[in-house]
Amino acid sequence: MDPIIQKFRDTFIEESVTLLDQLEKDLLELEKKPEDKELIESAFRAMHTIKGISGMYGFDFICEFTHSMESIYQAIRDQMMTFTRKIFDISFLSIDHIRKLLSDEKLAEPENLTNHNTLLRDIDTLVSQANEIKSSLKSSKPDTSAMAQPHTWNIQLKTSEQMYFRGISLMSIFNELAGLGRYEITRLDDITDLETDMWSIILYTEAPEDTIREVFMFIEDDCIFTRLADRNLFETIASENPTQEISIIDFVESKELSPDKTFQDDLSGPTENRMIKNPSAESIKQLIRRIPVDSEKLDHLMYLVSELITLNSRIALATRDEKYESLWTFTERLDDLSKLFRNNALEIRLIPLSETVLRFKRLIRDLSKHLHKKIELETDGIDTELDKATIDQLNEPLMHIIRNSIDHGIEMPAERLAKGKPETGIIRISASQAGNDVIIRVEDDGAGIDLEKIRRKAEDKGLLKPTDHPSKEELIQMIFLPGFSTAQSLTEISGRGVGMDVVRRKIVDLRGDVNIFTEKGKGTSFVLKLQQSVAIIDTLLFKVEDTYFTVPVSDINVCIQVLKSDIEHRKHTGTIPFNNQLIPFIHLRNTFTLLGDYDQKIKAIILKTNNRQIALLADSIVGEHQAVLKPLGKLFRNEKCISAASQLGDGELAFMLDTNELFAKTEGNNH
Amino acid sequence: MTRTYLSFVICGDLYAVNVTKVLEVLQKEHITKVPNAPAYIRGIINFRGDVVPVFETRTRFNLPQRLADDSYNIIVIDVSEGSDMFRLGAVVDKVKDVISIDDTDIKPVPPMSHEFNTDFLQGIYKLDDDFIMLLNVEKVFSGQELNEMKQSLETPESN
Repeated sequence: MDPIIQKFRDTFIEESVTLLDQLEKDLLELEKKPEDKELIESAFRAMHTIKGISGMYGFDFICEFTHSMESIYQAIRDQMMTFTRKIFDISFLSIDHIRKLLSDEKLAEPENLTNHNTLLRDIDTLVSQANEIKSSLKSSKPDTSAMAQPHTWNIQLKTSEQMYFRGISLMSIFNELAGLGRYEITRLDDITDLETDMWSIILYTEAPEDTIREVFMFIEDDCIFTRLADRNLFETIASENPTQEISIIDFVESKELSPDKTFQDDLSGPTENRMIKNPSAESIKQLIRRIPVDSEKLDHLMYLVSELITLNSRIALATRDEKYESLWTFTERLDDLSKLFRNNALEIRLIPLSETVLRFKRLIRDLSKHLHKKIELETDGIDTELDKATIDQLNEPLMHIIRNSIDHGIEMPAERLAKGKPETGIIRISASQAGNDVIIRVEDDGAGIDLEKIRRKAEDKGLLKPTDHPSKEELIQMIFLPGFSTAQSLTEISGRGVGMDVVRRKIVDLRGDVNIFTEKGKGTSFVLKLQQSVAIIDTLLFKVEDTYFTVPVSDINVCIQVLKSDIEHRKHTGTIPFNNQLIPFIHLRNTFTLLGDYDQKIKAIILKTNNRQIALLADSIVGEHQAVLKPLGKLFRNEKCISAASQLGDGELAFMLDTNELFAKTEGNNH
Repeated sequence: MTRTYLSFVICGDLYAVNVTKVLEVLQKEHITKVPNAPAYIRGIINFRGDVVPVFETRTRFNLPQRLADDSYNIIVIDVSEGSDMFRLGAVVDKVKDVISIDDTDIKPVPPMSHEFNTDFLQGIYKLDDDFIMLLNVEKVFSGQELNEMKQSLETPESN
């Protein structure tokens, strides 16, 4: 395929994903406010835009599909139709379907094909109902020509590779255009120039020429504007050819209305009016303030920053000698700058939690309907930002938590009323930032976790003896065990006994923490604590023999010195005394089969998580180290205690220890 | 068809790999040892910002160990593994030069001492009085070990 077309196609897919998310959000809002004209307009535009561009770049099924969808919204926009439950249901299913079409544009998956046809049939039924109403109303429709001067325009547009590199978004242009009126795009084939594509856009609008030009303002030089007629050619075609579908471009050409080159001198026409503030100019500005960036580019930026940081520490190391003193002011400045650069790059990677929370709105809507429950989602502080990688990883655990709340937490409406609670249950997602940590709470006002049930279940599974007296916290912790589920029946929503297990594992993988608070009859809340950025973290660097290790500073309690004779003495228990306690130690030489032996004075790094502590035995402690974490690759995946590597100033690599694995290791030794 | 190869020396013998797989030849540099890694993994290096494992060809070919003071080169290679790419470094004694070899001049591998796995070779090329052993990088640097690794990944982890 033509590489330029391919680039535009890739951009189309990226932008469609964003647009579909927006559409979904609008629809969820519309469900609450079905009369909101702005929302209807926005939804219509989104569909119209996807239709237009998918047609341009050969996504024929998407084009066909959005064309049908658009008819519904056209009817609603024209007040021929009002929203019904059915329309919303079909709309949501359609959004899902278009998402699938983006990866399976040829409908190769039989399931997608069936779905495609079913949905098209459903949409057609709705549209034909609307059309009946429309035809009965047609005669009474007021004549608008007195108010404005509608025209049909032909805009010839040349798209080139250069336009792609300038970052021009056709999607936003056509989205804008849809706000002006009805349009159709056709590709002009008779172009011999391979570097560019020519398109003809037939637009029927009441908007004056300036407004149309404004839409194309960034690519005006690549456009030729031609006024075709002072009436709606779309309707002319329809009335002249009531039985067949005739493409507008064929019609225009047959009437010899094709663009006259003399219109070209309009291009140099007055442009002062462009700066006029109007809604469309405002929305262009908004689009520009937030630009979508390929995540690979971000990864590359992070790579460059990490190289800069490493190079910076190399220079600092190399110029430590007094004889380089004259350079020190520069190296210090370089150090400051690269830190600023790092912080800035990390900030770019941060995206608001709201990006993922939106999906759950949809999930809650669908599932609660399915279960005949009434549930509202409330959010607070979801503009709190997290690293993109973390947000991606967070989806699954959040989904399990929310499903759990929908399924087990919130009661049936009748039951809630009987308990004196409002009929509609609330799931509340809130987020806040505390230093480098982000706290996310997912709370419901449901029945709470039935601790008695957990206890019985644990006894059934042999995890508890009837004589045991576990604390409330200990019982709650049990739901995080693999295969532990208290669901009454195996529903499709949760209750497969995998959910909570996954939640904890995923959060721990993100170096985070999860806690549950629950009160019977009042509700349950999950509290997740996560680090805002995970790619670069502050660590303590230490050495065993000639191998460097790091652990996150946040996991360290304190560093102490112990005598080798003490360790020898306690080898059989594997513990050392600390603060009147015996804590397990990890003999890093044995764990990692390193040569040599510890000195008489051993450095012990005491780590702590929750209520446990362990000691790592090291030869020497080097100091704090900003670790730019790099995966070790699949060859070393078997070494679970090492999670990543980071480069030191002299080019040597240090190994990041997985503290959770180390804790697990000492647990294993105790049994 | 004529292809271009990069030739190098290991323990006095000449070997070569297809030059299209080679990203860069590095001078002797510090290689960080990885705890508990297999013997044929010399360690890891930072290559263009990524951690890349480095194989010791001498160990891989059951040849005498390299001494600490010996000089060496590291050849950075991309090895395909199904649809995936796997980047690695290979420690060799010394890189020689780049040569063109026609496919028809490549001779099949004769039986050798059982210590050397002949699967590692794709063929042999006679250059004047010398032989160049053309390495099958997919076999040398993946094959068995990577399969073993895969199996260990497929078996459920016991957390």
